[in-house]
Formats: sequence, C-alpha cells, structure tokens
Amino acid sequence: MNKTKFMKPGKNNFEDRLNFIKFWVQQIKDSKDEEWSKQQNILINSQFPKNKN
Amino acid sequence: MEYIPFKRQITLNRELNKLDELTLIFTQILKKYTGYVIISGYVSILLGRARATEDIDVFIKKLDKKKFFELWAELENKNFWCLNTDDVDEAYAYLIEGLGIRFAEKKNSIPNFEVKFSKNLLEQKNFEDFIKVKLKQGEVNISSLERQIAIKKYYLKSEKDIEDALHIEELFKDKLDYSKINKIKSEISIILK
Repeated sequence: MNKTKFMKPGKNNFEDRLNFIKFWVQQIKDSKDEEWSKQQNILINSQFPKNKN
Repeated sequence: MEYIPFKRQITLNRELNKLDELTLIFTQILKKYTGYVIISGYVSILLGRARATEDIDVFIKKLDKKKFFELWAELENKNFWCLNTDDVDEAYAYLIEGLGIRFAEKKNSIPNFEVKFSKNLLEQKNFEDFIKVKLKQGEVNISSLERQIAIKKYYLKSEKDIEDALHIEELFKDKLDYSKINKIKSEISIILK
C-alpha cells in the first residue's frame, strides 16, 4: 500500500508556495499524465468564458 | 511524461485544457510562416505547473513583410485579432522595433499570445536548442529547460519566475544539464552589465 506523502508547511507565503510546488511535482511524478492534468485543468479552464467550446 | 534530452523531446500524455488547445491552433498557423519557440510561463504550465496565465510568450524568427502580411491574414481568418493595432503595417513596424504584439481570440483579450522577434544573441539561441513537446493532439516547440530555468532564476527573478523555475527543476532534476544552466547564467550576467 502506498504511504501518503504530506507537504511541509512554509514559514511564510513564498516558502509555502515553493513547498507546494515540490509537493505537486511529486504528485505529477507519482501519477499518470491523464490524472494530474485533470486537476490542473480545473484551474486553467476556469479562466475561459463558460460559453466557449 | 518522458523527457529524452538527446532528442530534445518530451512526450506528454496529458489531458489538454483550453489553453493548450488554443496554443495548438495558434502555433499551427505560426509554423506555416516562420519558426517559433514558446518561452516563459506557459512552458511551466504545459509541464504541469498549477497556475493560470494571461499570456503566452512566443519568439518568432524574423520574417519579411510579405510573409507577415500572409500570417496576419490567416490569423484574422482563423478568429484572432491583434490587441495592439488593426493596421498590419503598424504591427510589423512594432515587431521590427523589437516590441511584442499580442493576439487573442476575437471578442477576448485573455489569454493572448505575445509574439516578438528575438533581439539579442541570448534570445536567438532559443531557436538552436528548443524542445519539441509531443502531445496526443499535436506538438509545440518550447524553450530548452536549462534556458528556461536560467532566464527565470537569474534574469527575470520575480517570485512567480522563481516558482516556475523550481517546478521545472524539481520535475527534471535528474536529466538537466547544470553546466549549461551555469553557462547561460554567465551569458545573462554579461548582458546585464
């Protein structure tokens, strides 16, 4: 069974974002492209108008 | 995701988002007329960085006025508009001046493609070592990973740029050429003097 990996909290905003990037990159490495990209696409697609195809 | 450095190729089986789809449409038009390389933020985003962007930065190889007019016409026909001017002569003059011009889908301003000619040797080198990213639906040319990291860490240096560089560095750390990053860092320091 895979052990859950946790993210180290940062001491400030910037450090926390850097820690998140390392955490997220690990998720990318541990999963298939199709899986991580689904999560990322929620964020990216939200910047487009809803009526677009 | 698989990166093969000696082939300068990344194979990416990601699900495309709307930004990727738009980029494929735009670059498929561009490449009919001139060489191109995508640089900066979208490179990190394409490779998984979890952030949005308002623009996609693209260097294009210098092209003559006639060819640019043809490119302009096709972009217009394919539903893009230029945010800087509706005059093709003026747009070309901006490029020659070293300025970037932006294109977006008609009726939208975001996201947009900022297109410019490379101005100096450092920028021109993007065309020598770019990487092809092969997606299921097509391919796009992006700046070399080492160049991307060096420019963001040692030239642009904003928090966002440092974060973009870290994303690429963490993702490919076993395959990066660190001597190349240092070489580009030296070239940057010469330009900044």
